[in-house]
Amino acid sequence: MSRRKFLGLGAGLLVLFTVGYKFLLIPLKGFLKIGEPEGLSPEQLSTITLLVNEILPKTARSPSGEEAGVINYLQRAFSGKVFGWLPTPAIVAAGKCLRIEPGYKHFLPHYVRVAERLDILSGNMFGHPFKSLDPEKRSQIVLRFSQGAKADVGYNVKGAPSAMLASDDSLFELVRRHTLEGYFSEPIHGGNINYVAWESIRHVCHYNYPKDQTNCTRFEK
Amino acid sequence: MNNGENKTDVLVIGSGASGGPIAFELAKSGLKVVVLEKGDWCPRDEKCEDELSQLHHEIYRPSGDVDPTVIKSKGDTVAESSRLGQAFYLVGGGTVRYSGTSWRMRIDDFHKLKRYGAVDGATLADWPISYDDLEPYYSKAEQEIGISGVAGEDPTEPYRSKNVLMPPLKADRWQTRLSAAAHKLGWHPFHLPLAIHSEMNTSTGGRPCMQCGWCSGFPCRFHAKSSVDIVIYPRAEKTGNFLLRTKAYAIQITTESSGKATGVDYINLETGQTEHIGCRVLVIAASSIQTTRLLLLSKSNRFPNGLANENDLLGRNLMFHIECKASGAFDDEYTSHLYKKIGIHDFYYPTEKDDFINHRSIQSGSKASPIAFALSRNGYGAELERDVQDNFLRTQEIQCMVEDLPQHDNRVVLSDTKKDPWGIPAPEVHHTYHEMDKKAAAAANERIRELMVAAGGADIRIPKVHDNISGRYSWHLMGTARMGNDPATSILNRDCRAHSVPNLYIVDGSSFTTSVGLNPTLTMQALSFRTADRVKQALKDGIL
Repeated sequence: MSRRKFLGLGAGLLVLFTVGYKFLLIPLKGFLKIGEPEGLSPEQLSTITLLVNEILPKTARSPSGEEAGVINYLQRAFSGKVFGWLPTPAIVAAGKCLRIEPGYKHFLPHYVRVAERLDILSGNMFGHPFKSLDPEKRSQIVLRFSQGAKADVGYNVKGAPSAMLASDDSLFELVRRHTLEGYFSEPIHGGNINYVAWESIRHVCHYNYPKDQTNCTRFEK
Repeated sequence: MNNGENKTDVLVIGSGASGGPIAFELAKSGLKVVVLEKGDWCPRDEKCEDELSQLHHEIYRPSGDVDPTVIKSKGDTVAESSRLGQAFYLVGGGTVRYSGTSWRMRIDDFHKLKRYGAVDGATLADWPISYDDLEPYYSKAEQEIGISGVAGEDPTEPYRSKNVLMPPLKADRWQTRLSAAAHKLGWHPFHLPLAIHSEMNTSTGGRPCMQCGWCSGFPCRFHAKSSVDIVIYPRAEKTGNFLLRTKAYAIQITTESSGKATGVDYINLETGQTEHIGCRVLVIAASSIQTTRLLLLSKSNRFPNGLANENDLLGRNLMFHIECKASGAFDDEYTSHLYKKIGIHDFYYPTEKDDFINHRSIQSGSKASPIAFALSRNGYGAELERDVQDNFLRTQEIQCMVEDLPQHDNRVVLSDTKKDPWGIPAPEVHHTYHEMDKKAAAAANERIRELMVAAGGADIRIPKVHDNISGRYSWHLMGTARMGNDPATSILNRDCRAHSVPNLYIVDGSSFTTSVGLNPTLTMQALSFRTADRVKQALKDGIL
């Protein structure tokens, strides 16, 4: 085989592999649920924690996302420890091909992808993994990540896009959404520990808030 | 009647706003009534005020992956697995979580075609009934459901033969401020009629509102909201003629060769088995999208395109409302929460200068809850935290409900591609707003901005008006089996009975001929009570 033909064959195989990987193998893996993570590794969790603390950092008036329990909220959501519609055994039997468990387990591939993308971006820009960067460089990476390629995909309206095909900004928005949920939801969900988030915004007239509420509207004369 | 019976006098599909009243009335009259409900009873516990569970995860019903609706606009797919059009999966349906705004339609609302004439691209028609026909049933609904408010304040309000309203809910500082601003503009604010008990009501079983503020979007733990599972079904059960089967998913209506409905096949969601219940009279109250889906699934030799669909009108003229909303920040902090109590109808009708004919209802909004508020703000980091901390208590909202004109091609069909776990085709919604809808919404936005400014609001934010329901829309589903006198242009007659199926009645929003500019629930309930009388009369006359 001549050198030209050899290079041509190599280029052709490369194109074939790339196209096949993106348009055949990834969707097939998604459909067959091959290789889906059961949870985040400690390294991935560290990276996500750093991102959560960029989204909601500690300030003079409020705790960071991590301090308020957002990571705890996420872990519980990934493990299915959430309130949610529970299918009857009959529905499970009928819909066994479908994702019908409550919680955010189906978002684990997205979070794995988030950790990967942050490392890719920081590797490209600074030559180091995300969690080893200093705070200023981390902020730059998160800004870049949040401004990623625009894609008009929302996870509520059109359904969660495949993690491998999701744009950086839609992945960022997913984590932002979940971070705000964990921060401001009732403590029973794992975040807003001891109502710290509610107290930071003075949302203390909630019926389930356990402390003094006599200044609230329903007590106005 | 025991749980093993498979035949009943009256079978009602759907236990929501309009399923309850007719079931109750007919059970009281001595008929055996069975209600089939896909969902279950709502527990009134501490999760009732849990924002994450109620608003964001909607814990009582499955995701759109399990029970999907496809949404299309101008041929493009907007959503593939939406929850729009899903059943609420609750006994009491939408009334468990609704805001409770309970209007009587205005007299002219029944005659839009006569008042404004035809509009290009819209299928305007007059209702086959008038306000006079429905008025006694509005009074009945207000009494049986439990509505609070003040009669005669609203300048557009029609006459009422009886005033059965409970006193209005106590105003709070935000509502007082908004009313003062409206008066300053020369407008005429009034107390909204609300399905919220302001006092103990031994007739309905409702209890006085605790002013906890967790109303719109949340079940009421205190039994103050007039949810049908609280104010209707306990009384229906006492008749001894009533049975409500939960986790029963109706999938097909069976018919005989004469065209009469004979019963319903349904999947028992506990066992997975398909069961059948026969009936003499069939009432459907499953809301526009699910009602249409059930009828389209019920094909036969006589009805090859779906039950009662010989004129290809079933599913057409689907209407929502556009829900316009403005938020603004104020120089005061409000701990009052999720309740709207004031209405303004100075702009309900269009003027001669307006280039639209849509009716519109301005209603005071409420504060957003913490997660929703934080999600509505842009950005992240310390800036977002500061924004939420500084503005959460200071931000309030004003809303405007805008009429959606009926259009022939706004419709519900069965999806060719999307199915539920049992392989049953999902509903597919096609909807695009009419140009007049968007003009009316833009004009509404200007009015609520004007009010917001008069009230002292700053940093006023108004989401843009979209072409379709991917933007703001209400949960009001109407049309798809419209009432009319002519069987060629309508599905139901003036008694909400199908023209071509003599024992089939539809009492949910499907029956609406036009959407008007008002929350539809009380009208659905009045129609439901009226239809109960029609059923009793038809049985007495030997028609059924």
